[in-house]
Amino acid sequence: MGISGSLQDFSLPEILQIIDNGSKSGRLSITSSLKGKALQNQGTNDLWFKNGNFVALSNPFKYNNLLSLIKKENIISSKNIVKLYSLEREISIPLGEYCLQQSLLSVERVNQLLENQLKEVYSLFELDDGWFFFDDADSNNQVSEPKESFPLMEMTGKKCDTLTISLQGMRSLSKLDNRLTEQMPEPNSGLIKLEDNLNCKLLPIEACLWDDANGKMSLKKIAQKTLFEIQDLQTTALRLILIGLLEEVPVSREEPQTYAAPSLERKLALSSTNSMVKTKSQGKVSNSLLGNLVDFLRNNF
Amino acid sequence: MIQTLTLNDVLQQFVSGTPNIQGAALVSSDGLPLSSILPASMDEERTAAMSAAMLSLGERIGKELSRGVIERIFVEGDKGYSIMVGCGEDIVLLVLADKQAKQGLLFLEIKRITAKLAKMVA
Amino acid sequence: MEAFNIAITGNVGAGKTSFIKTISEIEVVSTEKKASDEVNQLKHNTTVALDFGRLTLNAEQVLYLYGTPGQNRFDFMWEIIIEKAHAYIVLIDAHRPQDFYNGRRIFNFMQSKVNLPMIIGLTHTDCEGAWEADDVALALGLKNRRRRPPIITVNASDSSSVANSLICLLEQLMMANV
Ligand SMILES: Nc1nc2c(ncn2[C@@H]2O[C@H](COP(=O)(O)OP(=O)(O)OP(=O)(O)O)[C@@H](O)[C@H]2O)c(=O)[nH]1
Ligand SMILES: [Mg+2]
Repeated sequence: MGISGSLQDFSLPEILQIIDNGSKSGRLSITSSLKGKALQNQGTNDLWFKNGNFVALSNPFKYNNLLSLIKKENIISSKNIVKLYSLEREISIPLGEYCLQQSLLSVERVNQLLENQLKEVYSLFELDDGWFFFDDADSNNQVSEPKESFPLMEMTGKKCDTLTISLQGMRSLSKLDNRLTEQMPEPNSGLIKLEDNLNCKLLPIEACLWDDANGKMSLKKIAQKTLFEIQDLQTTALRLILIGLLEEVPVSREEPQTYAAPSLERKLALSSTNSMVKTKSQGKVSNSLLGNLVDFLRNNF
Repeated sequence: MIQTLTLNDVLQQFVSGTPNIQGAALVSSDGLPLSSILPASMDEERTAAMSAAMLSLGERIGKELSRGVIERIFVEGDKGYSIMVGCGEDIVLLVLADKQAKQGLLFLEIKRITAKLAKMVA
Repeated sequence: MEAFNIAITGNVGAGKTSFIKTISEIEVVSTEKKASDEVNQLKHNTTVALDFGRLTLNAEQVLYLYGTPGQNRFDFMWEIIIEKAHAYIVLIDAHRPQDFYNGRRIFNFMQSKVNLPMIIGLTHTDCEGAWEADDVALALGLKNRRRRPPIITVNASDSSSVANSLICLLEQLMMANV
């Protein structure tokens, strides 16, 4: 049981937010479509999560990926490498952790291995077309299709939270495709925070937006105050919106009228044949009717 | 078995061979297009869905207001007519005609084509 | 006669027709047809025009319930129905995550058309693989916990559950009325 869909419908940061929000454990398979951009990450990549944190990257067509990375580093003797390869069947802790225990690798090296895995994950943010499938792990830490357990041979034993991944992934994204730029916040819009506090380091321009995300200051005003270009602020804001850190809100109105962000309202108004319909229902419903209906429902059902 | 190709042929003949007829479409009763000859400006899927919705409402009216089995839904505008008729089980035929069409003749032609199509889709 | 119109919209198979059938005092005017596409793996019938139900409160006041079709190709019916509404409920079946994106499209469609009190009703929460409300909210694109419509659980075939969801919607209206 899980969620699946097209990367055209859900963006990777959105999927990561769902995993994070539910502190989910399981395997997120990302399959690039042939139509999509040519990438080094062709085919399927499996991202593994434990309680909402990233713990491994595996690829059904690239066995022992982590080991080949270790081998490439050339810091473990070939004898020990051979020994590591033979571990596959009996290993009961993550490979990185095992190497630490056996003093084959330093903590810094293991952290570096995680970074290397994450770099491959960031490149997946470039995918504009393809499929994803999140397979929830059961109580035995197993996913169902195909049935397998967490890939200990691909695990460093270290983890990374999804927000950090999304932030880095979005930063490394060279070009935002049209579907994303449709959600570009308006210069007259303000921003509000969707997270109370933040554990990751922000770039200067991100920090400016974060600090002024109080719903009162428009992007235009922020640009005047900080001397960042408005376009740069907009795209940076968009990235932070997409990863669920900020939300676009109108600054003019006290309470937002609908649940849609200003840019979405505008987009929807443009796309639909004739936007906001005039509600034909005459005016408001009387409080007397509402009260009577509540009583009626309470008494009869 | 529904044979899309021949259905389409029959529709095509009907539209081009009958005076004042501008288009026709066969749709499933849940609103999916099966075959259609429609003016280019009309979206096949939307047209199909609307025809099915309209006929189903008509059928409800027939039942609830004791009008019996509904023969057709007839929508008359100042630019022309659209007619929806049931065509065998679970299939709806939509016909678009211009304002010059003679009603009696139109209904007759539609009855003829419906019988033919109903046999093909049975 | 004062009439109060509520629209029930949402995903295919979420339970819009059942919802109205469960609570209506009259036999529901439904326009269900045999599904001929993928939907028939879910259930036999699907709504093609609308559902209509009624609850008479007294000689002067009445509640009308209008259900929409769930499938996108009937979005012209969504518009016809929503423009008559005073409030609406979007039903999402919590056990079919593959349809959440579609729910999001329906929600966005309504948001672009009207500005009315509304709630989201999660059905099928008793089914295997059902998602938690917070996760569904994210999948629907509602990232802001503080500014999102109420999301409540409802079983469309259970009358007290349906009544409760209506009460929740009424509370939204009362808040808008003051
Ligand atoms: N187990 C379970 N079943 C439910 C629940 N709510 C509704 N159902 C069932 O789900 C099905 C919903 O079907 P419909 O009411 O036809 O759905 P609909 O939303 O009208 O679908 P369309 O008209 O095709 O868009 C019915 O069989 C209901 O009995 C629930 O909370 N739990
Ligand atoms: Mg229905």
